[in-house]
Amino acid sequence: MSEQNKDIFKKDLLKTLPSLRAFAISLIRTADKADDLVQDTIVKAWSKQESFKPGTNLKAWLFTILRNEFYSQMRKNGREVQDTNNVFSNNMSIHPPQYGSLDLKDFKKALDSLPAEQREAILLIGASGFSYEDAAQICDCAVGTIKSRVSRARIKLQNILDIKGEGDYGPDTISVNIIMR
Amino acid sequence: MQKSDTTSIELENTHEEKSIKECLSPHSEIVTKLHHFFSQIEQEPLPDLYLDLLNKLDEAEKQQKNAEV
Repeated sequence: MSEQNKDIFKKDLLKTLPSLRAFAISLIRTADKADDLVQDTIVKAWSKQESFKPGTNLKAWLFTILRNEFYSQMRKNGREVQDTNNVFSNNMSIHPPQYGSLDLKDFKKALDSLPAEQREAILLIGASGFSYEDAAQICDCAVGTIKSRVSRARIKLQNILDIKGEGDYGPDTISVNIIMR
Repeated sequence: MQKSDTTSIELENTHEEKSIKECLSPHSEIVTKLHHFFSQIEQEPLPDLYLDLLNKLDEAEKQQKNAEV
């Protein structure tokens, strides 16, 4: 890799970190574990940067490394780390308005209740903005598999959050609770 | 109490919009919530440990290069 490409690689890596970290936090149950995971991913990506083809999708490449790292650590630990003490919820360093904060915690809880493969699928497509093709590549499965995981995740989230079907523009769940009083 | 305006989040990327449409409507409440949730985390200031790590990696690379020369 040329010096110029190395500089671009570093700059783009830095630019992708917020998304990468958001994906890790969404995937994993505790925020500090997520930061560990992203750091491991950075070290791995750095050591493998020669294998990255300049001009291709760095974000997808990094997400793939992070995901592989996540599953290999999970296999090592034998099981997924549970947020038993709500470490994530209590540690959530963001300070949105109160309304948003409650909303986010509920949403995080709903996300956590999904099987890992459905969680990652709906996050990659619905939040990270990847195409189905990119998501399939990241998850090392068929496009159709991603689609069915996204569909199942959507239905489960809608049930948990008590959201009516697609195209429902009614009040959100919190407003509904207030209105229904 | 300020109500967060989640409905204003729009998907700018048409490619993204097209891919989501197949299983997920881009204007559905779920996608709006996903975007809201995700962007809140994305907007958090990056913990210092990341920049420290990148600087260390950069430094190690330079030292290695100097050692090779």
